[in-house]
Amino acid sequence: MNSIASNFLENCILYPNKNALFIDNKFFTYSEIRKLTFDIYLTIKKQEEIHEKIGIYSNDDVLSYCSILAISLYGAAFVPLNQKFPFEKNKTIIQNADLKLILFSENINLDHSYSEFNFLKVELPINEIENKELKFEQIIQQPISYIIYTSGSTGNPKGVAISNENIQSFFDFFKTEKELFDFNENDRFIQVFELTFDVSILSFFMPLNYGACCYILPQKGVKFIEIVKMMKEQEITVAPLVPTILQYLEKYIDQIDFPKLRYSIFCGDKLMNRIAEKWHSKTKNAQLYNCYGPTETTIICTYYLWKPTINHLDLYHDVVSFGKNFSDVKSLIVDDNNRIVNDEGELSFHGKQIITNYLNNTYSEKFFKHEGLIYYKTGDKVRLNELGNYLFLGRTDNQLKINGYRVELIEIEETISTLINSKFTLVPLKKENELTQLLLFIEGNNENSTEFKQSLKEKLPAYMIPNEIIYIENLPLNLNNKYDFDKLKSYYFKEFQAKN
Amino acid sequence: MSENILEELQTVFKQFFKNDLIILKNETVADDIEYWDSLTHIELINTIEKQFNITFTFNEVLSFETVGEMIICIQNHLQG
Repeated sequence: MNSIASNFLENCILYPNKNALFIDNKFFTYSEIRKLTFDIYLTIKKQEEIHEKIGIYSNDDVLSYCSILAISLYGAAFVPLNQKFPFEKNKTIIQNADLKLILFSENINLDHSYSEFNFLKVELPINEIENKELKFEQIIQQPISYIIYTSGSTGNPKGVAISNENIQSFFDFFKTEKELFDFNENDRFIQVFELTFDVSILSFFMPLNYGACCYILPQKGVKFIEIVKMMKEQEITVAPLVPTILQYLEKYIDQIDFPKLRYSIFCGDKLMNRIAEKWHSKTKNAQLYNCYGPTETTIICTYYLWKPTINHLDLYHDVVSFGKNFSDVKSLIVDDNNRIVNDEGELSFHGKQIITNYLNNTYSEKFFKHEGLIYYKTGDKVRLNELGNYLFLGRTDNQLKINGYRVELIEIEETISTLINSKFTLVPLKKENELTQLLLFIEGNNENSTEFKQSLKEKLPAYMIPNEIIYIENLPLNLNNKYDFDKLKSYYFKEFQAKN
Repeated sequence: MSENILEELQTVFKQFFKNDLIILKNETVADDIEYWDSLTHIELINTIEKQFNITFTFNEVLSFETVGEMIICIQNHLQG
């Protein structure tokens, strides 16, 4: 069987009574997860049609996670949808991925807007299923393992279809490089990401591949507080996290101690050396990795093992290098015309882990051929230092990282332009603690601001909604007739904040 | 005393979240208030510390499940 969940099945036989999942304050053993998964698998199998792609309207409950396993073992690709996304965004995904079946757990009250699509409720089985009956047969051989949507520079989200080969290559790297990542069946991984964010695949499937336990963070309260609590209480040993959490924790970092932690794996945003030092001093027994990889490269495809004795060459304005490629990944640094450059340029990847086009073969300038191989252009400007490690220098476009999410300003701008007729501009603002905030300046008065804010919430996910909306009489222009960001920032600090 | 703290906290929350409609109760949790998330939490805690002239330990910050628990903690700090 060729599936992202194949190793999980093997571990169900090896470790039937070991804990596989901790969710909603309850442990589930490998045997219990297998039974629940089988029940959902049968539900899918009973459908009249055979489905190549199946959506999951995820709820972070045990049924949602077992649905992922069931779809994978059935042989289809799973496509996560997010309850927190507005209907419009989920609808775009459902239509673009052409989903004819979407699973949702019995714990969700499905909004009536979704009635035009084929949603199927999955429930906890009433009767005990006997172990001997649990025979998974792949019903179809869909080469795609999962599809995740990312913010698109054309204003529409793009489908990134990760194949079984892509994900297998990703997991093979960890299995082969035992000196770097020596996970085992006694590890306790924390899973803090929404299922529409691809690092969740690492946090969920990696422990199941090793017979270890995955601890799912409850989606309530203040997220970074809940992460710290779970890491302390459950003595987490492997923590894949976005570095943003360190910025939130900075004030209290002296009061934290995680002696049981073996691996901190940071990815999704810039890691600052100053904070890495503080974190390391409180996680003395852990290896600290700074990793990198857009969704198109299958979760992460480079690694850098951080040490307190870090060479200054591995830093660029205090941002830690993201190191070297995974062994099966090739890279090039190119200019705007896809010609190889020797110093600074755009990082591009080719390899078993890297996709070669977007879903539905949507044309994209993000892919180019070099010596017969297809490379994916990341949009990240880098330089390779004397030690052979990558330094992140910035973006080549308007893409931002907000809380680890990729955000294309144009996607937000397009939505705003459907809601208001006034001139406006978005201004990213880096705060003292390195967190990015988004300011929206609108020319005119704020008489319809309440309705406008409400409409934004209906159309955009929370992380894309500007942190502040500022109405201004005239949007200032600079010498190039572009909106003057410096003047707008200065207005925000001197006048807007003072008034509010 | 706890009622006074609740009232004062409510004023802090209204100003901080720029929302005059916020009504705090002892059982209020982060999920009940729009924009009370990781990004705003630390700044909110800083604002509360300034307002009451106290400093929370991280264990205290971790223990706040409800506004009521926050009030008890503020009360303990004020009583010295």
